[in-house]
Amino acid sequence: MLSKESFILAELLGRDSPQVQALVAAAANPDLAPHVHEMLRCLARQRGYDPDHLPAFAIPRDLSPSDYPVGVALSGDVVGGEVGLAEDDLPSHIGIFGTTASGKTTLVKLLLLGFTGK
Amino acid sequence: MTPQPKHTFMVIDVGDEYRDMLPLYAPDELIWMTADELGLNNFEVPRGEDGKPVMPPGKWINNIRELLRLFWLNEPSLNLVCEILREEYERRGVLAGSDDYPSLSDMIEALQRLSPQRGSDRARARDKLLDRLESLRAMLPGLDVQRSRDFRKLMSRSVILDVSDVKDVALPVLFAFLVTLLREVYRSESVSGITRMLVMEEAHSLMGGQTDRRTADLKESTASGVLRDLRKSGGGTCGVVVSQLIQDVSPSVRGNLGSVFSLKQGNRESVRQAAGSLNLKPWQEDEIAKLPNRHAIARISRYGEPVYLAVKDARTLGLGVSPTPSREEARERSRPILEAIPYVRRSETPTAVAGAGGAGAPGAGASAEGAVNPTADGKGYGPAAANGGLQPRERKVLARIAERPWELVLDRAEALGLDREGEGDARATLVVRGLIGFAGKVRAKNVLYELTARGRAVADAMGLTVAKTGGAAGGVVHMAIIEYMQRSLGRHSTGFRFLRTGISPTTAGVQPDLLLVTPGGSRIPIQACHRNQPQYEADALLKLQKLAMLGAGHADKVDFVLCVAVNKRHKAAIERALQERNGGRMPDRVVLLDFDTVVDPKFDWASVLELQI
Repeated sequence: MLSKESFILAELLGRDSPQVQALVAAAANPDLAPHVHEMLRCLARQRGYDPDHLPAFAIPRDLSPSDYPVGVALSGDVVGGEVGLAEDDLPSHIGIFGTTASGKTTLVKLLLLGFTGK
Repeated sequence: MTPQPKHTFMVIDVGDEYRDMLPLYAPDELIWMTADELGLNNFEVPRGEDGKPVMPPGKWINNIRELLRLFWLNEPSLNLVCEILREEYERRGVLAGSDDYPSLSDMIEALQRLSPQRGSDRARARDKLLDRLESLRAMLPGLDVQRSRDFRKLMSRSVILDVSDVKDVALPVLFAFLVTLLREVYRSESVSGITRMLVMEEAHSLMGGQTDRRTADLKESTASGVLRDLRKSGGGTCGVVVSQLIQDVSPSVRGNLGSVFSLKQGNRESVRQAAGSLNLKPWQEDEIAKLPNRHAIARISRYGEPVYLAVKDARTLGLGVSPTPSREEARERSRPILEAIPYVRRSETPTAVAGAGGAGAPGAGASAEGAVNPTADGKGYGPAAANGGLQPRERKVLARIAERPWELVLDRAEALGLDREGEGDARATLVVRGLIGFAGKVRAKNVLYELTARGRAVADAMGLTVAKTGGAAGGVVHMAIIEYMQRSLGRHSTGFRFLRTGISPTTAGVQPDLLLVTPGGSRIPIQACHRNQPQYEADALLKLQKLAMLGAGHADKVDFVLCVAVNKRHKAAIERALQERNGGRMPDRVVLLDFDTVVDPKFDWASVLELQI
């Protein structure tokens, strides 16, 4: 059984990774659970995370170039590649929400500039 | 090799925030225009690529019906407008292929020519319809034209449509009309991929959000339908829905969104709703409230999981590097392009109509003549002297509303020496003749009126004094609050002084509407909260409250901030918004009152002023 911290670590590291999947399966054995936890922490360190200060979001595994990039992915102190929308994302509409001065309009303008090839 | 389709966008710019994009585009790539310059006639069937109407006129009437529903018209009036429109189409030969479409003013004149029995259901439906169409014409003169601009040509380049001057109540109609045009004009085209973006800033005000109960029931049927239709038949149009509060955009609209970006959210409900839309896990939800400016969490399907991102600095793309053109410069820059897409204004020459003498004026509305001049039988409207058609009582009421649109009905009746019924009859006549229109509401039943475009023309012809209402949304309501506030405080003490312009205590761009200076030298900023946007009002109040809390520099004598909401319900909504922003309690040194309380002659100001100072 995974502890809450192990669960978050597994989510952060990506449950689709074979390594993580094997560790999660091993954690079904209560005797192995503490070891699994330590191994997940090691994996996190290898990926550049501080396991004692875990970020809430992981860098997406597939950061293929976006047609209309609007920013860079962050995960705690780890900086990933460019993030944005692809041509395939546009047929379904886009929602942008946030309080005053949070950056909504800037985000829209970036999107429009990218869309019109500026 | 197939040429790459040109990508364009249209921004419905509610807050005048997009002009800084102009320097990055050539003048013929991006045009800036206001709603007054639209030059689109919603009674004209839009044209397709071949220049022919995209549907039979009889069918277009159904679209008109739905558009006017957004302006709070219901069955009897909607049936009447369809009937009149069908008659006008027939009379002008539109049904037989003519392109002599009626304009908004033509429709108003056709309605005025009707003479239903006084007090009948039909008369009530006509009066309501006239009232709404007059309001629509005054608020959106850019829709009162004889022949529309070529919408396809207009949309062949990117457009910033500045609607910052359009009243909130007219925005859903304008928005729905534009989207209907997009849908109908491009319906038959098979476009591969997305070639156009439609940005809806302050989407809740365009689509009718939770804060606007009057349009709430239309959300499901229009807003979500519009987005769905755009996706299916909008000719490659992607909608970008932008709003401050995610919960103000209906769930059905949100259901149409494929990608969602949430920047910082202010209150618990927004965080909860955003977390749901982003598919966040429980431990990720708290991040939404902690996001720094220009950081966002996005749900983009191809990444699988929600992604946290820092939004690029727009200056890296050149935005904000060149100075932003002024509104006049922007207008001048786009003028040649817009002139190349002409539209036909209403004829300045009065058009003779059988049995009536309708009159027209360019753009904004009709001339003074013909607007107020019934013929001898009292049914038609023919040319006569500018004020000849109004009874003395009606002229008095018109003059009073022109000068003091903020005045409440009882005060106006008293000032004119009329009883309430007499004032009401005169006012109803002015509404039916299209000289005054709805400007807003204070308290439960106090409707405020202002001159319509036609009323202004008549007032000018009669040499009346016309108050400047600023033309902004809620301008008259705002004036009413300030006037009555000053009047009420003046009753409390003759030693009070009031400053309206050049008020020195400003902070973060917020200047109080009125400044009360007491004989002891205390200064109390007074804010009229007239917008139906409690969150916005709360933010403005908190900025003003800083003056009182700082207690230093130029603000050292500011004791507290006094604000007045339109009614008790509005006050409660602002109170809630303030509490949400202040850890669940009302901020110190902010006194919130409602208009009902302020206008009550028995209200004890001493309890407020002495307790606070």
